[in-house]
Amino acid sequence: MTRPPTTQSDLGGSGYPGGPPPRRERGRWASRIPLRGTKVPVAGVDTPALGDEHGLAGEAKGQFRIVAGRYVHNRRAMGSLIVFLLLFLTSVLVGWFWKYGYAEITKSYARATFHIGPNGTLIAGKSLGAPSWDHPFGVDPIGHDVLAQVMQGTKTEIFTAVVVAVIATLIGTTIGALAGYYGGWAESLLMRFTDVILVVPLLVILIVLANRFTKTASGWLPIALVIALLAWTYLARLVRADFLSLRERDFVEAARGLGAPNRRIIVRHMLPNAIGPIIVNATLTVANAIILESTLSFLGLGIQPPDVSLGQLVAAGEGAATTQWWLFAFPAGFIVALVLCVNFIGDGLREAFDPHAKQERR
Amino acid sequence: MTDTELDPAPNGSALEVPNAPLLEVRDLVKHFPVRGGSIRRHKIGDVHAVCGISFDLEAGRTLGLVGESGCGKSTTGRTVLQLTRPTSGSVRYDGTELSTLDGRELQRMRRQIQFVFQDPYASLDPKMTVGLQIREPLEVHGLWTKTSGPKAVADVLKQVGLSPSHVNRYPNEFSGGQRQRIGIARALILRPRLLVLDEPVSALDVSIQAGVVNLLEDLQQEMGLTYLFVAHDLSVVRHICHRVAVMYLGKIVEIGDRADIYDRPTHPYTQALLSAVPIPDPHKERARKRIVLEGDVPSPINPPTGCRFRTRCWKAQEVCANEEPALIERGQGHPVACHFPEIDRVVG
Amino acid sequence: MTEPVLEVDNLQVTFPTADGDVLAVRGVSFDLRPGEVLGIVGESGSGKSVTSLAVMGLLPRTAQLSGSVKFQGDALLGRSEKQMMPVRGRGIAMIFQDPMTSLNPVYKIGWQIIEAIQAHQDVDKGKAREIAIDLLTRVGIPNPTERIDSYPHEFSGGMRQRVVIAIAMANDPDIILADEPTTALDVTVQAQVLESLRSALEVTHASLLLITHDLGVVAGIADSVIVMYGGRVVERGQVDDVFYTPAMPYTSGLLASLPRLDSDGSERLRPIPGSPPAMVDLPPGCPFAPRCPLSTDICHEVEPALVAVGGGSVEDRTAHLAACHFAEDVFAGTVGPIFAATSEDLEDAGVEAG
Repeated sequence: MTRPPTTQSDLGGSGYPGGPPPRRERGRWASRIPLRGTKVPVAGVDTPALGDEHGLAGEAKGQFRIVAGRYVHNRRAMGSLIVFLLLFLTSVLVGWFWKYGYAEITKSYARATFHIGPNGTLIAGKSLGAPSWDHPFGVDPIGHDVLAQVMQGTKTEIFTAVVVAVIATLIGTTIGALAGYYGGWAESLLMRFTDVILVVPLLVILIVLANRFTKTASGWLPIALVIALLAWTYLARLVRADFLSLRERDFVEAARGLGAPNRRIIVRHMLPNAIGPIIVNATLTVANAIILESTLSFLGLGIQPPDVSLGQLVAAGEGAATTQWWLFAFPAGFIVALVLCVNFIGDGLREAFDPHAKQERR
Repeated sequence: MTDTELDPAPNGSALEVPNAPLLEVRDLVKHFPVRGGSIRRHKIGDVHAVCGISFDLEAGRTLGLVGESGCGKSTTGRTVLQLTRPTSGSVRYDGTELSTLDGRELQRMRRQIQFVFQDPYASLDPKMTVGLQIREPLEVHGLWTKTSGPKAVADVLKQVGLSPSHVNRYPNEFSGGQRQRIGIARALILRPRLLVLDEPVSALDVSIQAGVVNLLEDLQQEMGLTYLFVAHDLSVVRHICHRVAVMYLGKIVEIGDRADIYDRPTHPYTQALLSAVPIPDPHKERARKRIVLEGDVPSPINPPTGCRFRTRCWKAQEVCANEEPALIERGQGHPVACHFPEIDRVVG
Repeated sequence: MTEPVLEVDNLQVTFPTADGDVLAVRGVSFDLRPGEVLGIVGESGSGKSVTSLAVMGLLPRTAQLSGSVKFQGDALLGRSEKQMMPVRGRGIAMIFQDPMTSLNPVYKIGWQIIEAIQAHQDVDKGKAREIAIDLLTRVGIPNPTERIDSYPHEFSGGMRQRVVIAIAMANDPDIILADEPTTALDVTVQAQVLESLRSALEVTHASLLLITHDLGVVAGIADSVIVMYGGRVVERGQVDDVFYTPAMPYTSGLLASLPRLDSDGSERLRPIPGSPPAMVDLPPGCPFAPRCPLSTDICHEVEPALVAVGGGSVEDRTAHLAACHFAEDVFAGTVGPIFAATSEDLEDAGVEAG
């Protein structure tokens, strides 16, 4: 009598049992297999459960590795991640190794623009600081090397945005988790508080707060804190909704039934199950923070000189957009690049956590 | 219902009378508020899920709570375990009143009473390994140690028929039947005395059900467990339960030993229920008497007055609407809540 | 002999997935005569639901089908959506597990029944309404003259299913295809729905293709039965033959593992060890071999074809067929109780619990 295969997985009620299958690339057609429970009896949709990919996985893997595995196979997401890391790395390295500092006033500008001619007259130079081998991104009217500035701005931007995302996520998740789990008056209180913050027009408040803060403090941290304190609300709602539905799941009731205290249930059971959307939203918060900070700086309320931010650079270069295009194009371009990258990373994470969310992938 | 006196022996220690009930439930009521209103969301009604039921469960035996959707059997199971608190009534486990216990004491009680859930796919945390979940009860109650813990987990896995090598796997790598065994293992690791099982096999494939039923019977023998078995599948219940209580719309309509209920059913609902269960035997099934009920189960928000079954009962008379029949002995050998009970052997 | 109203010949359905091809159905053949009730039984993964969906053309476009399905002699496989529409509902009426699959939630049920009646018969609205009320009575809906103006959400699950049956009757189909129609219902409601189904058959003289995992239901209503396992038909025959003298160990094991209402509960159940197979990368040989106590080398190498047992030939449509190398022995009962009752026997056999 032979031993049957010892790992068997079942895919539910009327689904298909899966055993450990060979690992293969996820192809286009995989996403077209419909989900269990769809009701419309039209060809192409109504099929009894073929199961989700978890059922077909087979090997002992943590959630992290499953998600990471999926993410790595997503070319756009991986590409964006690499680009983003390159941008960050470059900005840091340029800061250390580039010949010009970001606040340094270089001499090349003066030479390039004016020089005393043979008659003693002022002669305009060949260029007004356009990109050259010496200054790949050009020079600004005061003489700063734009490359150094843009790199410093990028570094600042990324730090700011990440700090915002981390703080906002912590606040939002805590509030949302407590509201969703405990319900009752705790939930009402927390959610009404969240609503109040949400209702307030973000930009207006930011402008007011930023105005006060930036007069007194300097650097990028105060701005980051101000933005973070207002950016957590979306996440709070999201986490609350997730927790509300998780609370009703059998395994949570099982944990309660064996006497587990609330804290343990929240941290060890519910958070790991809710972590997907939290991480995705944290990533998207980074993108939003970049935009918000740039906007504030553009209005002159964000990071103040001599600290540099991309929004500030865009503001400075805005007037000369047609004549000295390099003053505007590079900072703006980097903002766009950063935001796009982060958005694609967020998308990639969302798909990696929940591959069924996107059915039609053309 | 059995007598529960504890006779004190001369030296002061209590001598238990054989078969003293481990679980005594009296007049258990559970209502769920229905909230309405737009701003204040006040209560506009109640779902009368469980409406005053009483039963005893003797140690080492199995009591089946059977009925269809909405009869309140699952709610009863959860309320006994205090997963939801009763609206009123008493639940005494081994002499201790459970409904008035506070958090800490209740947590201590949980070592002795455990719950097995219906859906093997939902009752395990998908993000935790099986080993972690089985040992969680030990950790929660401070009984986990590096030396004895892993062995306890391995032992209980073997007891339910699974290999201890699976501890690091995730629930989605197991079949439904195996997951249910894991759920049972998790419930057993604290060595409880009473298990409340909520439809433990109904979500499983037919050929797998038998294995889990056998396992439950074996465990009862080995460990002296007491089961409160909530189910709708009367065939399974006949197999595993010693006593059966039939529920309808929040009330027990008939209660008795296995043979009483299946061979000598007296309540019309019990008879209808039994006649509706298909038997995989073509000749028998085609020759059987079929009682087909009219209409639907009434809403538990507004149950009928008097006897709740009267809206679908072929024997209903005026007294049934005016006076609710109590669950008492009426000369048929076991308690029944009907004004016109009559033994009718429906199962051939 | 009357022509079969449905002929399925060597139907195969494969789904390509990220982890390999899922061979959901691997060569299923059967036919259905007018007025016959055929039960298809099987557990998860047996392929029974996919078979019915293939017949109705309701599989996703990614599904690869081969073989032939003929309804009244016309081929069904490979038809476009437009070509399938006249068949669905009129020729073959479908009843699914969830009645809301077939009921439109925004129209009163009366409207939906009347629409079906008028599409099929040339009657005016008044007469159609009368017929609708009559149908509702036949399926056992109380107060039909009032309830005809109710919406689907105002009915309970069992009632909705009966409304679906009424609509099916209004269409006067040749075949009623019911895919687990009572699985989600309470047992007394199931009895009501099965009664309605019987009425429907009486009125329409349709054939019934009933797909279910509940052997008791099949015993009560079917004339012939097909047992599916691992995507194939493993036993087929008249219902008495299959239930009383099964010829395939899976069928025998299934019947023996059921707790029965009419047993006194003292005998131990005999489970089938292990679990149903994964439909991806199936090993060679009989798909049931890993779980079968009778299996020998040949069972793991050669997949058994359907053979006739108890005299009779494979061509005879009422013959008792089984796909097992030892079919005759199982049929004759010479192998004794095939499945062990105790866990020690399980361990001896080296099989892990399912």
